[in-house]
Amino acid sequence: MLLNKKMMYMHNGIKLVRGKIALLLLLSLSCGIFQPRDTFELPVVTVVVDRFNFGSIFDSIGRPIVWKDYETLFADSFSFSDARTGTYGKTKFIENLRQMERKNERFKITWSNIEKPTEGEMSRLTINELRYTFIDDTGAVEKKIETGKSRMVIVRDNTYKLIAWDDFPEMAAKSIFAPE
Amino acid sequence: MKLKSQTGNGYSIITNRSIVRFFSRYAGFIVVFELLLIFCTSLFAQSNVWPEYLSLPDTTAATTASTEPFHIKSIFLTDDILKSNNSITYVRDNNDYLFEQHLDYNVTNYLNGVQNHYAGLSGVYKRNNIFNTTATLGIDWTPEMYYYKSENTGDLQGQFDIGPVFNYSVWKIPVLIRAGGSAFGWNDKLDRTSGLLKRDNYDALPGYYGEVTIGDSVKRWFNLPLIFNVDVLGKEIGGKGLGVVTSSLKAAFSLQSGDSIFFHAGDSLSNGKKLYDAGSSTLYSTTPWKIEHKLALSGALRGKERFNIRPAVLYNFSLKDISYPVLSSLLDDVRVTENGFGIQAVTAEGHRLTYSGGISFRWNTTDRIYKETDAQINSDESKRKQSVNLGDFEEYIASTDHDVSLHLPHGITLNYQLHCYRNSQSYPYKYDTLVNQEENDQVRNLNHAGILYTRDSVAAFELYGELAKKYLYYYRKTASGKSMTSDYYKVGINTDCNIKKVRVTETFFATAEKSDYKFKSVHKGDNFSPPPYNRRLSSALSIVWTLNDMWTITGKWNETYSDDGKWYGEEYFDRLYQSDSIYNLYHGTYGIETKSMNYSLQMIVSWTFNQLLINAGFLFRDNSMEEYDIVELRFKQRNTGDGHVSEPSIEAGYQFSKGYIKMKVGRKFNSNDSDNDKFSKKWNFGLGVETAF
Repeated sequence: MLLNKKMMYMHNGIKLVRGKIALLLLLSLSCGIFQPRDTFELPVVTVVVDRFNFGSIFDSIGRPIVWKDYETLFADSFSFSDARTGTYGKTKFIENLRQMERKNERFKITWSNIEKPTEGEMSRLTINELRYTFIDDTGAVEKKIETGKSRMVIVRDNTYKLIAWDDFPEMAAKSIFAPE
Repeated sequence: MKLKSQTGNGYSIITNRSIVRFFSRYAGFIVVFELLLIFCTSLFAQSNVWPEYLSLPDTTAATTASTEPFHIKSIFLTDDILKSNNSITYVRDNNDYLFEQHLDYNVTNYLNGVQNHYAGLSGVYKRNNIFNTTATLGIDWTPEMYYYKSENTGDLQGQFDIGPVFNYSVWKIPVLIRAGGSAFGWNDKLDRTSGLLKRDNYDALPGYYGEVTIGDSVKRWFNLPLIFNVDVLGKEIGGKGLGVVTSSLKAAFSLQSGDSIFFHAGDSLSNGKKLYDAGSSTLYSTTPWKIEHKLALSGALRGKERFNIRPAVLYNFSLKDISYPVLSSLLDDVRVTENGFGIQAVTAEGHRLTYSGGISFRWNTTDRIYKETDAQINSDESKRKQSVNLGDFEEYIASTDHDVSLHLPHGITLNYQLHCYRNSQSYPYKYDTLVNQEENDQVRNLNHAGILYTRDSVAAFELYGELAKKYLYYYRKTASGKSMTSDYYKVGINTDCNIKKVRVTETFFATAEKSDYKFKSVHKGDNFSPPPYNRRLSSALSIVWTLNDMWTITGKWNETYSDDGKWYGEEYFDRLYQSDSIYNLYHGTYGIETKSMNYSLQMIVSWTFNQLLINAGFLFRDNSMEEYDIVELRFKQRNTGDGHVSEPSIEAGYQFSKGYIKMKVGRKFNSNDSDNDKFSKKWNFGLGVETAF
């Protein structure tokens, strides 16, 4: 008799736990954790400058893009690979570019030897022999000129996007695009 | 029926009176845990997967050491690039001594003038039972060579360590001591004119090293569920030194209650200059003096099953500091701290109703030039420090995942999943007009519901639907115009069935995603740009016909349709700018800009005889894309540069008692490719061998 009573108590406990889990699901959705903030500054229309001159690469291969920002330029599965060090994903790589922009307002980059891309699977275009010259002239440190070669892979996803970039720096120990 | 089912299997332990008593005994714990769970839902979030790194390695599994002296492993692949990794190892291990010699050679040729080569010849010779103890004493050597070649320049580095090595066990804890002399040589003038063998181009410096290791990543201390190891390494070459200390502690304890506590700590500190790296085109220099400290702490309490639920609470903290003591002008010092807290609950398998859920919260901070005070940063007249400090950010990540399945009779299962994720980034610093514009929130709330039917191993059918709401919000004025919400819809069918000797599988899904800008006025008028909209339809069909024990025929048909465009909502039109004809044509419609159809057909014939497997296949692939011409008001074929692709290939694999060998040869034919007739081009080749004898 006592055992039956305790078993009933256990079953009630199980129901209680299930009820609480259901309650948690409801709380998860309703308490605002998974809602974005609503503290906007009113937008102003600005032109985001293509500091790295990426647009010129797309122009040269006859697939021009409307430059918007890095999020649009790089595909979500983008990867940057420095032939000497490591690989970076989209978020980390964009942060690298922004950090370069913040540290230096006067750098220049030119892209050359942009040959006709080769076609691969899933409409991927590969530019094999792209050369770059990067002039870093902060004024605070000695002017630095880096050169190197890149292989870029482009996909069409609504607009043309960079999905892979292998960098082959010629002089520096690490790529200037991923210095950390 | 439900009660009987539960009582019949999962709760049979209830008949044990000691278990019956447990509720009153641990009611306090359960209530506290559940209150904590509810409390935390109002603060944080995470996933429902137990982090396996917290569990101790299983030392009960039998390990089988190979007795063969020679081990060879080689992989060779060529397609867009050429890659080859090769290793040969010779081992002699007996009661008297251990001798081990490795030969490693890896090459990556990017086929554009850039090549990476690595060669290693490390080895060790140790005598066992020194001084009639378990100690071993010997010598180890690690010669390595690295060669990087670009089109016009290149560098060659060689490194050699050699010295005595001593192993001993103290209270069954392994201790390793090694020390010796080092040398480093390099040639950094490997351009086309200087020549590889010109002696003046070579430089070398002597040095020394020492290392002590206590414990390892598997051995338990004093037969307790405790693993600890520490390694101290110091090296100096040419007056430039580097010290590295790494340690880790892992423990797992079972409480009397049946619950378990897990703890993991890891710490590493490196201080000094990396031995040598190429610093410029003509001089070889050291990397800057760098101090890097990493600390990671994790703790978890995993409860035993109570009321069908197995709960867990987890916490972790990590810290990473990087600083350059004598080159603070680089402004590359950074400190990253991360905190994470999570709760999980999982039901045992086999119940009619199964559940796994979790909620977790992470809050991270990235502090650049963290040693500088606000006053020092503000007083920098060049504004560089302020610009760098603008990159500081705080990140708050919440996620929750819940998976509920109701197992009904006749092999039918109903499943519901909820996956919510939020990532908020805030940039706390602002200097006059300098503001980081990237402050953002990314949120995704996804609901998944499905019904699954399974019948033994003969058939499976799943129908599911997904509905997600996504937010991508930017908060600063130059970026807030990009803020948008998206509604995502997906339906899919997965089937898998066997009909006698034929197995058919089909995976089909259809998706649509419609976005809407938060500030529509930014995308009107001169900047007319309605929000994106896209759809996908995809089917993957596979048919495998097993004729007999030797022959199998496989056919695959994959086809995907997709279109991308814009949603021309009424609210994006400004009648002062858009003509009536444009307005009448587009408003309230989905305007497709591009649509594409990709499909592939593949046939594979497989033949198996004893340990030999041969696959002969043929793949045909075609992609087509059309773009909408707004002048001619019709879709026009776009030349993407792709033609029809055909790829015959043959694969062979042979498994023998001492290893295996695999090979693949294929060639691509593209109808638009002018190189099709050149026999030497467009081949891909792969070879893999692993053997011991």
